[in-house]
Amino acid sequence: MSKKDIARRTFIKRAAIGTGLSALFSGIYIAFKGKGISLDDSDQAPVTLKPRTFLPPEKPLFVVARGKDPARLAEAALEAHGGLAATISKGDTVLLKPNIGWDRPARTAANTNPQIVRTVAERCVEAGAKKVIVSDNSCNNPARCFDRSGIRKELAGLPVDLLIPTERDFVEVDVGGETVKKWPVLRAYFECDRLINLPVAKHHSSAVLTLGMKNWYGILGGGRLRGQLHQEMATGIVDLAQFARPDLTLLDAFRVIFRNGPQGGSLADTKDLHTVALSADPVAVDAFGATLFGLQPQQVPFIPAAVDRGLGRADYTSLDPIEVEV
Amino acid sequence: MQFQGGLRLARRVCQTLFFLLFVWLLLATFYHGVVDEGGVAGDTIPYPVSIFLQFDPLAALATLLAAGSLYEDLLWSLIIIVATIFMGRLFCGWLCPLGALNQFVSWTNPREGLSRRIARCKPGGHQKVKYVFLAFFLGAALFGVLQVGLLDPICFLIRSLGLSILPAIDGAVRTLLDLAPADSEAARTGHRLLDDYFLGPRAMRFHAGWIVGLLFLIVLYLNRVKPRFFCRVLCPLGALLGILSRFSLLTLRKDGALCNDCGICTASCQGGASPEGGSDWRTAECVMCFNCTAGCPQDALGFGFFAQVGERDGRTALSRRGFIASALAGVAFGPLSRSTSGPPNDIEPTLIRPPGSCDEEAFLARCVKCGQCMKVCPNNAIHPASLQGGIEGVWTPVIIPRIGYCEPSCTLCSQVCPTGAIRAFSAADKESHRVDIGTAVIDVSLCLPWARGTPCMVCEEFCPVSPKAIWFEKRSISMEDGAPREVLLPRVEPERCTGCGGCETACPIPDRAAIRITSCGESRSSKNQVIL
Repeated sequence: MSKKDIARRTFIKRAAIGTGLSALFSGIYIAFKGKGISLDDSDQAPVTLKPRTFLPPEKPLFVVARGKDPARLAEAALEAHGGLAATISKGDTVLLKPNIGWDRPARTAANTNPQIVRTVAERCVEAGAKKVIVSDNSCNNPARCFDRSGIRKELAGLPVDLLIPTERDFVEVDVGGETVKKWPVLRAYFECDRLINLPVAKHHSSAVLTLGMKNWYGILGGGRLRGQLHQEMATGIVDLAQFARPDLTLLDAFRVIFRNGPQGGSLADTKDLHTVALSADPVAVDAFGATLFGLQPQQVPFIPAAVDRGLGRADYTSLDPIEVEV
Repeated sequence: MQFQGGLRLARRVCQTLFFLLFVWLLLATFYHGVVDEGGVAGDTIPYPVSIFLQFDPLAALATLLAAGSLYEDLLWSLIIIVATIFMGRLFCGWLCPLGALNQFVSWTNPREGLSRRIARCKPGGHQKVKYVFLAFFLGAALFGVLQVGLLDPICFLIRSLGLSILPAIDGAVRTLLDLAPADSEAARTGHRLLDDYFLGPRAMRFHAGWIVGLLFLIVLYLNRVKPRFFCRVLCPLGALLGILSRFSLLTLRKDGALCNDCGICTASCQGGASPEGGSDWRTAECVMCFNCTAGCPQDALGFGFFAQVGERDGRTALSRRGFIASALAGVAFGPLSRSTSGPPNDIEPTLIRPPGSCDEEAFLARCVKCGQCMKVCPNNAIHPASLQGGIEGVWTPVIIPRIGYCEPSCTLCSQVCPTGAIRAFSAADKESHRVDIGTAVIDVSLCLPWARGTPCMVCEEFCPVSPKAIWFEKRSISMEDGAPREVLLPRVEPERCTGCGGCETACPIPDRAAIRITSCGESRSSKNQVIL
């Protein structure tokens, strides 16, 4: 038998292998093919995730705390607000959303003060939360932001889920805003029972200031396309504030960046204000934040825009602020 | 024979361990979090990830010739040199991770008749080729042209695995995970495991990485042509060690009286070193794998110190003339590759080197193209060049800011560079403009405020220097209908710009960024400057 001849056994063997491989590749092809190609993507699986619907009470509490120690400041503000028992029920999942946007050390105040984040996280655990998630979609390299902000270190040892989001932690939904429409949103946002916003007050060359409502950019994914939302900044911010609906906003103005925001980078860009503000009314908190920079709330475009949407009030003094010193 | 079989087993265990060590160190060539370094958060890598290259005598010798000095830790390679002089190419057979991989792949070859295996494993002219490469590379290095990294096995393996094979595995496994129902716990756990223990959460994709991977697969395939094809035909490090092993004391002893010419030893010889009786053992080709001694049914073979004269041939497959001719060809390569326009003769705007890089000529004399800086960069900013740096610069590191920017606090690439092509620097050096890599320039025909009157400030927001290198000019521009519109136009102050590329990475225009980094202003060059 010459080499070219194929015995029956060999033929059957090869045919079987060939058939098997064809079947395998067909299977893979079918699995990957999905729904086929269509200009209209409306046949995508309907998103069953629903945004939160929380509305602040008619006249929410408003707390301003001042003092030299960030942890005690946050502590005192929460205490004056009556603790977290009213907000968090036993077994709740709580999402804390600090600003962890930049690869900057804590002292430069580009991110939320890590001790404030830790204090709030501890109180959430004490209030009976089943799960406390701390997350933000950073602008710089995420791992470095979480590290250098000091937040990872402060939270070490606490029963807290530090979620450094990857693209798989987002799910595309209709945000339903005027400029923010279909967008990937952090999945944890839909999975939490309680949402607490922990922004840091900073200068921002396009939004004028970044305060609580601007902080919701951090639950959006979309990579560099997220930057496109800076074209209609005030509308975008209000769209997101309308979508997010946090239970509480605690504004960190312990140290603020007053120029070169939102990154700063130098201590010379910062000022110590040793203040935090806490309320269920996100607009009132931001309005108070504006005054810390010597601005009227009306001078920060997204604040009047938020009032127009009925998201809260700019006149925070009408909430009879409780002021505490520690 | 029992003892010799034990040696073979020991060799296999050793190869496996060193291969695993190599892969582990490659995976550890990664950002490991920050530690407090006197109030500054430093990003020191806690493992000696470059250790294989530091023990690589070829990297040491070639960079010494090309750059005229030896970079610190390359002195470790003396250990391998001394070991080789006394005990032959133990490095090839026992330590080299690419050798181990090749040997493993060769071993999985389909079984074939003894005569065919003997024919494959016999020594031959093909073994000359690696000496040609060695002489060529060293000849080129003599005049500052360093190409040894193309075929040095350690550089080759780091580059292939780090830039192509591992990312491909990562992508393939994730694709398979995504076949599971969306949101399934198993898929999420799988992704998390890859995030935490493999290449990290960011999908690393390298410029033309597929070519690097394809060459690697070809090298693996060649093991079917001859066992350890790369090692016996191509490897310039193997050639160097072959020369060094000429007078090694550990030698193969043949008992001619016992040998029955069965050929089993030749059929399993990984280097093509003529272990069979009646011929001279070729020291330079033997990789000390101990297959021959372990397999000899007659116990006619054994390794020992101090062989009888006349049983070994220490000469290399390539003649002295061949060496000289190859080295001369290498010497000629330098002027040839530099006889064209483009770098390093001319300045190339897209040739953005990692921070801390030497001036281009010194850089080319030091970079061994291993790709460790590319593997470690947490932002996937550093890529293997194709022709941005000329023919000499193929696979040298180049930053592509549209894919990733140079993180201002990061010093990882300088920590892993084994040869000092990227010099050590600190985050403070970056901040104080000692290692600028270029300058941002705005393309006003693309920039939203400039071209369309639409507000945008993302580049300014991302600019990490303080005060920012990007500032806004307030201007009233005229729209199509003649209506004036007040806009803030981003402008760059070049003196404050470090060239980090944060702006180019972040620019929200999806295709071509409206702000781009050009190499002008890079600290390493005295010529590529425009500010007086």
